[in-house]
Amino acid sequence: MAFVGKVTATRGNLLRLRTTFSFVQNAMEILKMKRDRLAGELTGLLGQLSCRKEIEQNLMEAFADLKIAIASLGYTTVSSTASSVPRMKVDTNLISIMGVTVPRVGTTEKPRIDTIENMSLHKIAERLEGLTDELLKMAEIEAKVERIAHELMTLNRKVNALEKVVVPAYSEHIRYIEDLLFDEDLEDFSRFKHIKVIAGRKKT
Amino acid sequence: MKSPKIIYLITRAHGLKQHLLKSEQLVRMLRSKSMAEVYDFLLRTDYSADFSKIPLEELDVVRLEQIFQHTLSNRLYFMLQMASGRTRELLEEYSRRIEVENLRRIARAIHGEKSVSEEQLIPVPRKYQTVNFTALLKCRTIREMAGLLRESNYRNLRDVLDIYERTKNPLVIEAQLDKSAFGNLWKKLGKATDRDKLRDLFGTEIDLKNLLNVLSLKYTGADQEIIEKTSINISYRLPKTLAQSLNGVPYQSIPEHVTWPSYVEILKKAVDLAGKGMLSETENTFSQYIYSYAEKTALRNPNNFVYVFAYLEMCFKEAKNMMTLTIGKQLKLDDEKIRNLLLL
Repeated sequence: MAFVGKVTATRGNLLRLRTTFSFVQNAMEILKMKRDRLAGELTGLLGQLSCRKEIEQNLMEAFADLKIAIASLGYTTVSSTASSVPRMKVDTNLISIMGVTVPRVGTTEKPRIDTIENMSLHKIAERLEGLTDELLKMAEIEAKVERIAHELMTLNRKVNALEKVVVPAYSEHIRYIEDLLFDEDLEDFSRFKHIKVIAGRKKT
Repeated sequence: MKSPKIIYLITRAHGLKQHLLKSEQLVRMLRSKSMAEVYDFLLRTDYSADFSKIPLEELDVVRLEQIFQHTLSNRLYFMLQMASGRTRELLEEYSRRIEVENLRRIARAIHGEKSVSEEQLIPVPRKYQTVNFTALLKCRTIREMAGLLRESNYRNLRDVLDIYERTKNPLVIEAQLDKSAFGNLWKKLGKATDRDKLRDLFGTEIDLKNLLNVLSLKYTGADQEIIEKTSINISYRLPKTLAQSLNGVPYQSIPEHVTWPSYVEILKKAVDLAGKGMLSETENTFSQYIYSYAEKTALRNPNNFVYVFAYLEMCFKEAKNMMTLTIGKQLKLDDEKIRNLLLL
């Protein structure tokens, strides 16, 4: 009752409350649908997150190969060879999933590793090039998961508040006003009946 | 009869060779349990002057490499300053490989639009520099770099600018620098003492460099044009048209197209290692051969001028080995792995 506040039990207020109640119920249904859609999206993304371990493992292996190449060729040679590869270019856009803005990362210019003559460094660069793509994809997924999870948390709170507090409060209030109005109607009916009986008696 | 100046140089090379670390010492360092033990060992060698300046805790891969490159540069230019006349000219041409390596680093950085500092270059004493590194480090484009080099030994860099701009591959620039350095060295051999022995040593080095270049580029799937343009146009035992003749040939079949038996053997070994994915070892096969060849040359010709160059080759070998060993220890690589990378 406290949520709806003090409302006089009138027919006008009952009509207004009923309209609001129907609006709240619709909103709750929409929010529930959004929640289910986002939960579905999140479940799909969580499945893709399982690749992270594999990527980390591959990165560690590439790093181990890189350590061998540094020991064999020297750090300066390796860093100098790496400097011949122009920087890769990445483009980020924001897209909306059910109103949640998530980033989309795309490579616009891949690094040209054909400038590397050394076999071992070329192989490592090739491996890291593939891994960079996977890492970008993973970063995109993680950002999506983070934002969707945050939105889901807020949404859940909203749905719960509507479901557990707002809707019961409104329905209780509507029922209360309905009961009061019914009682008033009943009283009026009895009063009219009583008056009618008295008026009948006076006539006779 | 050799001139006293050459005899003096050979004698000094014999003396200086005693300062080089022996294989047993490398193996002893390899067995060290920690970098601290290697550090202690190095404090008792020629490297002590550099190592004693840096506390063990401050040693990292960059510092380690700088120390060994500094020592290598000192050894090379020390020999050069003792020479005079044609001998000096030849040694100067030989020493250009350090300058070429620096130019290569600058070219790579310019191509990748990155910056390179003077600390990232191998030290070359100012009086032996034929190019202005300070100005080159400020270049923004390869064309600008070629412009600065127009009055130097690397003037023919301009000849490949069009190919570079079309292919956008700095390998053609790097190869052109190599061609200039080896071309000038090869020309200087014409009137040098012990010409045939020197031609044999440097010819083998150029052949192996060309073979490694073809193998590497074939392995990495480079275009035929790049393979042809990056080959040094000097050949000793290989046909000059080797790169062209290997058009369409996979890297595994390169040994079948080479006739010199020892090269075939190296190539077969290298192809086998590459097939197993041991790529650092594949590249080391070539370095191992050239350094062993230099050692054999030194053993066979202790009183010839070629001994001086064989000694210098051994200095390069030691620098590479020391770098591999210490960096390997610093990066905590397995002893077995480091051993495979060492040229023993």
